[in-house]
Amino acid sequence: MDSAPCLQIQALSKQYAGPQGRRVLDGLDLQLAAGEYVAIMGASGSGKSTLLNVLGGLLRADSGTIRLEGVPMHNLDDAGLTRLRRRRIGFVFQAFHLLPHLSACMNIALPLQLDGVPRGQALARARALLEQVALGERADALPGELSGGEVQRVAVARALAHEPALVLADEPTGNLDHGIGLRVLTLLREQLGSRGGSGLLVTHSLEAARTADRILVLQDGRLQPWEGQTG
Amino acid sequence: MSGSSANLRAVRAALAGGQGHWGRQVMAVLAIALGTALGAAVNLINGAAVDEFAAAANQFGGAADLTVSAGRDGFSEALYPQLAHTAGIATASPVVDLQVPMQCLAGNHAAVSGAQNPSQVGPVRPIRLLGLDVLRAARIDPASVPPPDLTRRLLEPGQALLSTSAAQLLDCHAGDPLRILRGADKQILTVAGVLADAEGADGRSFALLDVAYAQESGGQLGRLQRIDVRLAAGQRVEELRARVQDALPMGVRIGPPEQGGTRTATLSRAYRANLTVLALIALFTGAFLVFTTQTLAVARRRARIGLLRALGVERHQVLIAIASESLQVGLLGASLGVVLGTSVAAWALQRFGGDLGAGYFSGSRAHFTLDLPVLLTFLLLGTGCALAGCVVPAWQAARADPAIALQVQERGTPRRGQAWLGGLLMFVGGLLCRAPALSGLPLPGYAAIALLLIGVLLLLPMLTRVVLGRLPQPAHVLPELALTGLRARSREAALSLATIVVAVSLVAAMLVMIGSFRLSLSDWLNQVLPADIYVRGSGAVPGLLEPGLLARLEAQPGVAGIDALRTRQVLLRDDLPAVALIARTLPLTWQHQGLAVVAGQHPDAQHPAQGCDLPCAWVSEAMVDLYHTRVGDALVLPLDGQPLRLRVAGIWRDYARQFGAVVIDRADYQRVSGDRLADDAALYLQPGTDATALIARLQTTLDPQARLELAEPRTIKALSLQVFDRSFTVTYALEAVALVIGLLGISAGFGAQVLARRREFGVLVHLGASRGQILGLIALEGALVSALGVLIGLLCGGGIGLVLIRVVNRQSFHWSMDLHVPWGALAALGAMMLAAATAAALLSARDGLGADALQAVREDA
Amino acid sequence: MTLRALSTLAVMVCAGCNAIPAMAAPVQAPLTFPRDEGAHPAWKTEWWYVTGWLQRADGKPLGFQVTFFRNRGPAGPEHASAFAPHQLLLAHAALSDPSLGHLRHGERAARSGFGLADARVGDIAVNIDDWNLQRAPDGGLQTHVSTADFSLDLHFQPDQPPLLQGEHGHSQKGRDARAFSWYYSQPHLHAHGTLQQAGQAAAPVQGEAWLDHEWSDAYVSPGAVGWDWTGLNFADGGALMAFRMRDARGQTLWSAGTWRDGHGQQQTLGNGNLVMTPGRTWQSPLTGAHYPVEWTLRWPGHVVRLQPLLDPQELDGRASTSTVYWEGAVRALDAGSTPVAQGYLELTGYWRPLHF
Repeated sequence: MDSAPCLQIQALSKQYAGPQGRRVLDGLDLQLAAGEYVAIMGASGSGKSTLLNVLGGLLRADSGTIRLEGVPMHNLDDAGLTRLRRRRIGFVFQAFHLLPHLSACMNIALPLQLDGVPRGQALARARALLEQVALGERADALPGELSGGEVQRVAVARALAHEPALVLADEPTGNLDHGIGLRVLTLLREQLGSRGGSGLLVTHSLEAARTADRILVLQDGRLQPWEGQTG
Repeated sequence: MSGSSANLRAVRAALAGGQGHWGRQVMAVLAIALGTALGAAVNLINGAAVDEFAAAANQFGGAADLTVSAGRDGFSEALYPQLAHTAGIATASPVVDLQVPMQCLAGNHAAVSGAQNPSQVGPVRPIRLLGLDVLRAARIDPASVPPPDLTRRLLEPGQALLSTSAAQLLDCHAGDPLRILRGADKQILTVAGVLADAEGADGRSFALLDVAYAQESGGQLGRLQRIDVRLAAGQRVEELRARVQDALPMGVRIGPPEQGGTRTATLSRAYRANLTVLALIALFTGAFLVFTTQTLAVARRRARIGLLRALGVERHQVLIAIASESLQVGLLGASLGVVLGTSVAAWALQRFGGDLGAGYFSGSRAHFTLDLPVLLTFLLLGTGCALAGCVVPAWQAARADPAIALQVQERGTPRRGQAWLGGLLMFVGGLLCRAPALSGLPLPGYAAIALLLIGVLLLLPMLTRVVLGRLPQPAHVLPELALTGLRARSREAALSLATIVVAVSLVAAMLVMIGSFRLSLSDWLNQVLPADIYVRGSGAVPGLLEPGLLARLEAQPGVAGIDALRTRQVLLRDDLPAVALIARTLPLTWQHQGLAVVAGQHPDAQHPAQGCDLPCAWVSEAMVDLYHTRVGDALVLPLDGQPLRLRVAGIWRDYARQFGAVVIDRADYQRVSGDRLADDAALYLQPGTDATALIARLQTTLDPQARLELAEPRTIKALSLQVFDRSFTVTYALEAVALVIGLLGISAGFGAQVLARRREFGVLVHLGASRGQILGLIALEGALVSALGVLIGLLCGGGIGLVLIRVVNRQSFHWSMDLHVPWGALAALGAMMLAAATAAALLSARDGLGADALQAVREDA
Repeated sequence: MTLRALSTLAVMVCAGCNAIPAMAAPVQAPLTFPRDEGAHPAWKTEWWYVTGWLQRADGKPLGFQVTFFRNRGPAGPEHASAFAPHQLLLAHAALSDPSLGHLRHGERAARSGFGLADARVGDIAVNIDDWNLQRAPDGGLQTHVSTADFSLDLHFQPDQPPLLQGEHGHSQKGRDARAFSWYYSQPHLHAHGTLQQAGQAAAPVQGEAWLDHEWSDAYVSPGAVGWDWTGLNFADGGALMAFRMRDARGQTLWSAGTWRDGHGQQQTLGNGNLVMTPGRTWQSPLTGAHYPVEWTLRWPGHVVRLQPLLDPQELDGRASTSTVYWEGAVRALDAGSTPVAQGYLELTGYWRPLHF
């Protein structure tokens, strides 16, 4: 048997409040092996963001179970979810969302510091990560002084700073040029792979999705293998 | 037309949406309402008080063409026939006008319970005792005289008519015995009737007697306070006035009847002006809050405005949309404020009287009238403030290039010119402090305060940036985040803390001023009350202590010495209240400090005053300010129609009389006037004598009938400070409102910022920040901003306090005071403000941290 | 005699002043002149009352009255203030001008003192400010009054001795012996002087007047609600004073008078030989009161009918003294309707009963 799965989702359902509340997740199942990198595609409003929020511990599902590295997330309280987010989950956003008044280095160190890592240690770790994403010399630059690709590389480094088990990437190339986007995705994949982390990439772009190990489509609240998938 | 208004509605609808919009609007409305309410209330109360004054002065003589008067002491009645026989005068009406403590003997309660218990007496109140010759007064103005069935009783001895308000104050009814408390004298009159307001009383408090009995009851035999004059047909007022003035004895003036009222009203004018300015500052703070909220709101909506402009909405349409929004806020706030202010004024008048407890108008009751012009003025002022608050941000928003506005955020550094202008304004303010008062009001001082405040506000962005930049980098993540965040948003931060700066400045200034005043007063009281026991008659009527009584007091066992004081009123100028002439035993053998001399020589036994070719006089500081009296000057005072020539030997500080006092030796006074009476006496005891026991003995043995007031200095001091505290009660209310507005400002500022930054908070949540950490971050930022605001406010307030002490108070009340910084109170203010502002920031932030923070992360930027 | 002043002063001063006193009246020596023309301050009330007919240069008639009242004030001698109301003075002046169709009147009131208002003892000299009635330098009398509407300066010269009323001046007012006054009249005063009316130049006037001087401690008998009084100068030199006290039903309680014929023959009239019969009434449009403005007077050997100079001679003092009465110039006609006398008629208590 393989090592225990990184992420195990069973019968996940979520319905939005109100009489006409849509059932966006409807008995969704997903299993993600450790080190696996999966892309999820789906039409707008198909529930991709909801899924990411639930997986990030930012939104609670109505029913179903989620286990991250065997830990049942659905049983955790807010503090537990926050702790989980701090230590085991990383995020990459379409709009980068670096804090504009913090340097690249400090942006990366921030999640570590929020988790109580001393400032010096956190900054050292951030610098090392910047070296790994080939931005070692831009450590003290403010986000406004970096190009879009550089910003997203910093964002990738930030998502990996605390060695998460799972990185949730939400259209990370949406605001980037085609070529740069692909390079960032490759970087994310490489870095994840070198750490043995799993990744969940939500994207519209088939080309971006093709960088993943497999591609799933979110439709009618469930995940289905992408038809055009080969092998 | 309808098309354009539909457009306006569409633009406004497009601009109005968004979370927290209504909350901020409510806060802006509240700020304007509070400011307007305060201003309107203070103004209405002042107006009622002034009306009260004018009305009281015009009572029974308002229709007179001219009035002859000479201050409280009055003049000889021999003037009356002289005037009556003067060609050009049709009628002269003699008036006795005094303030006398009165007491009703069988008050309300006795009557209700049915028990004729003489011990049940009403309260003692100082009431205006008016003595009239109704037959003469009726010829001046028949309408001013009560109806015949009431006035005819006045001619009978022992009868008094009370105004409704006086009857209420004294708890007195028709038929009740009324005791006139005048020193050792006990007079019992009968209340012949109570004058309804329709019968000429109009809410004013007075007891009306026949002029003859008023002279007898008031100890004024042979004297009158006033003669009202009606001119013969065709007689020119000015010609007669000049002719009569020449013939009048020194110190007696003939003038229009209002002048008496003007003189009295001047008494409290400075105090009232002070209150009005404070209220206006509160309104200004409110306006500034509107400015802050609008600026933030516009900044927040920049992108939306840019979008509207890109969609073809005209610049002026945006401008009108924002202005109409502010107009709504202003109108609503100002209307609320006017309603609130009116009710507050009505309540305060009822509760504290026209002077708001300052004690200027004892025994009178101002009554509330709806003053529409005042209300309208404040309605416009409040609305105008709201509009003014939105003009700059609206203009900036409308002017912005749509393309630029559409971009995420405007970044900017404080403009250098703004800081320069701020510095310049503060400099001009400093210069204004050297300017003299304008028509008796310290208007340049107020302008200086305003300039100082505006200057600091203009300097604020720069100050904020510099101070934040100089702070050391903290080691911990949250403080570091807070500081770096604030540095990046120093302009917004400056806006948020501006209202705090204004509020804290105002309050700190008042605390410094009041603290200095109170300590100076306390020191002064210690200085001027060196004796062991003070004796005075219990009335305002002079001439209470006779030489025999004084001798008996001095002869009491245990008494080492006595210092008897005679106080007279002398009128030096038509437009100012009378100056007090105080005759006391000089040089001060018993008391080395009985006079708080600030310049010139001390009236000291060891070193007798030099160079007095005329009798030496010591004048109070008010004499220096009002009459430009200097040490060494010759001073001529009209005393009983005779000139009393004096040489000024020194200047002393007097907190008791705003309009000047002159101290001379009692021997000099007696030589000139022959008057051997005394108003007050100070007893110095032999060592080891118990003052309290002596007072008890004096009260029982000296003359059980004599209603002498005997007090130890500590009682007088406590009483004086009590009065002082009461008179400043209302300023505390004004300060509290300013603080609330300041807090609203912080709250509004942070609320807006949290909304604008909800994406940032959303990211922090994703990065594993707990809710507590985010609230902690906001609290830290709030505390940092408030600390800065409180600090700058305290500094600015100290400066304003100095202006209040050195310029405003000196020019208003003509007394100096030493600066005493109330560190404890200021620290408490700072701490309280810091805590409250942090809490306000947190409270307003909570709303901004909902699910939409997460939504914002997903939003396309 | 005039009684209206009493009512005025009664309202102004004190309700009990004119009631029957418990104490004996002050002592009055037999009347001598000019001493008794002066004031009698020991008595409660006193008045000097001049009425008469005047003619202007164009011959048109006018009625006038000038009255000064003295009333002992409520302040006793123990009150030391120079303003103490020991004596109160009131003056009244009215002019009946048929061309105006109504009365013009004015009044003054003051306490005595400071030389501004005084009623002197010893000879006639009473004043309130510039209003006065006093001895003229030539031994006659002179008066000056001025109101907002008119100003009157008159000189009076008697051509007859004073007419002592009642018994040598002791004039009984009712059945109660204590209700009496000291009372003399000076009929047939030759009057001349100047009158200035509002909006007109000062004009010389002349005519004939009547002076009443009366002082009393108790004037009105119980039960009286008003009185009717007249004083007439007859063309032949005769003079008649007549009055009656009325009760609530309009019946005569007491009537008295004095008739001195043109030869100086004097006759005291009393209850029985003096009959006053009211005739035509006039209703005041202002107050609604009905006044009998025409009368028939009968006394032994004589009948005259009184006709008013004009009907509206009501004095409406509601605004100042709360009294309303009719006081006007009348002429007397004999049985053949020939005018034989001119004088004044006073009607009180017709608006409301007089209260004391």
